[in-house]
Amino acid sequence: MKLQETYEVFARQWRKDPLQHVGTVVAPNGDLAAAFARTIYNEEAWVEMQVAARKNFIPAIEIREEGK
Amino acid sequence: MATLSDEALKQKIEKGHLIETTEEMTEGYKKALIQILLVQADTELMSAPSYYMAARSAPSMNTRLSAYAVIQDELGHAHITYQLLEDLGMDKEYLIYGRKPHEFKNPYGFDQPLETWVELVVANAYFDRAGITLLGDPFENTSYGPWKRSLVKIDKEELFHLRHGEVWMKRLCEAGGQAKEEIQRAADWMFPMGVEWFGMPDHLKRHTAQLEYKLKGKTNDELRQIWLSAVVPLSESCGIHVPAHFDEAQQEYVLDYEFPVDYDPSQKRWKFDSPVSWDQVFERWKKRGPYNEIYVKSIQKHYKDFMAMLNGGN
Ligand SMILES: [Fe+2]
Ligand SMILES: [Fe+2]
Repeated sequence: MKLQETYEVFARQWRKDPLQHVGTVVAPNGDLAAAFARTIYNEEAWVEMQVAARKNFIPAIEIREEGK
Repeated sequence: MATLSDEALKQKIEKGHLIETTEEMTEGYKKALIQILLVQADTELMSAPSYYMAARSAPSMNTRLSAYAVIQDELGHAHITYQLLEDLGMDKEYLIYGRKPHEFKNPYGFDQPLETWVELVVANAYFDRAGITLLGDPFENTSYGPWKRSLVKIDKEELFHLRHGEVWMKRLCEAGGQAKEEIQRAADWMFPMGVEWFGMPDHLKRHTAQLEYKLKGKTNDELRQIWLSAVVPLSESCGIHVPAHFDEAQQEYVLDYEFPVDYDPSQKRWKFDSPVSWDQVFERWKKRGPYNEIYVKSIQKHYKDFMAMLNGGN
């Protein structure tokens, strides 16, 4: 059984920017995922950072060819 | 999405198509990708204990802080790269904590003891330059989207490691005397280590799956030239002698010794008068360097106990 969950990390550097995907962390819960995200992805002085469990993502469009 | 044939996939990649999921890969692509990522992940991970060994002799609070910041970055890079492998179906926990020391794929240079802070400085200048060279290539050229994106952060931080090494190397050489002598001693074993880092020359091995699938874009010799074109002028500007120079006629950097040569890890000495075959080099790499076990064990030591504790002792 997997005790760990995969979380995607989103952040932005300026208020004018949209949130962007910056990486992934694996953690046993959301609080730890947030803590890991803050320390691993500390390359910028972000104004916002969010983590979301990957399993909660719902593909509205599956990855497909470009320009189609 | 139907899986393409190997040929069709290569054609698509040639046109600049980025691969995003395992469903789009052929077996051959996936295998080559796992191989190259594993080398990167293991290299990032094993740089941490070797830099830590040297960081313990940092001469001041500031130098210690910078050294630990580099180590933190490297662990982050390892984490990101093992995560890419996990997304390809590998088990990250097993890769880090389940493998035997000799199964790690880091280069021979990170099987060596880094014994002084000066050696850390030269490692940042030479080995991190090798890292930037090797990762700058896929950042620009790779056909695997998730890897390309992960390298934005990694390249940025590698540049900081490199600057740390170069700035201190220059400063110590300006001081002259013992400081410069120590840099020279470190360069004597670390420069040829960096030359070897890029592997077999192209005339012995040119076409690889990694190039055909455009996981990377440059050959071993092209990458080695890029590294030499940074490291040789840096060393010369510091008054540090390295056994290579720019050849005007060939318009490229050439080594002043027959490559490859034998190495004595116990003395940290290259035997420049003992050229060897590449089979002998592979043999030496396979036997691993003196700190391979020590570094791997330092990473793995507390894992099992901790997991048992976390899971209520069962
Ligand atoms: Fe790194
Ligand atoms: Fe680095």
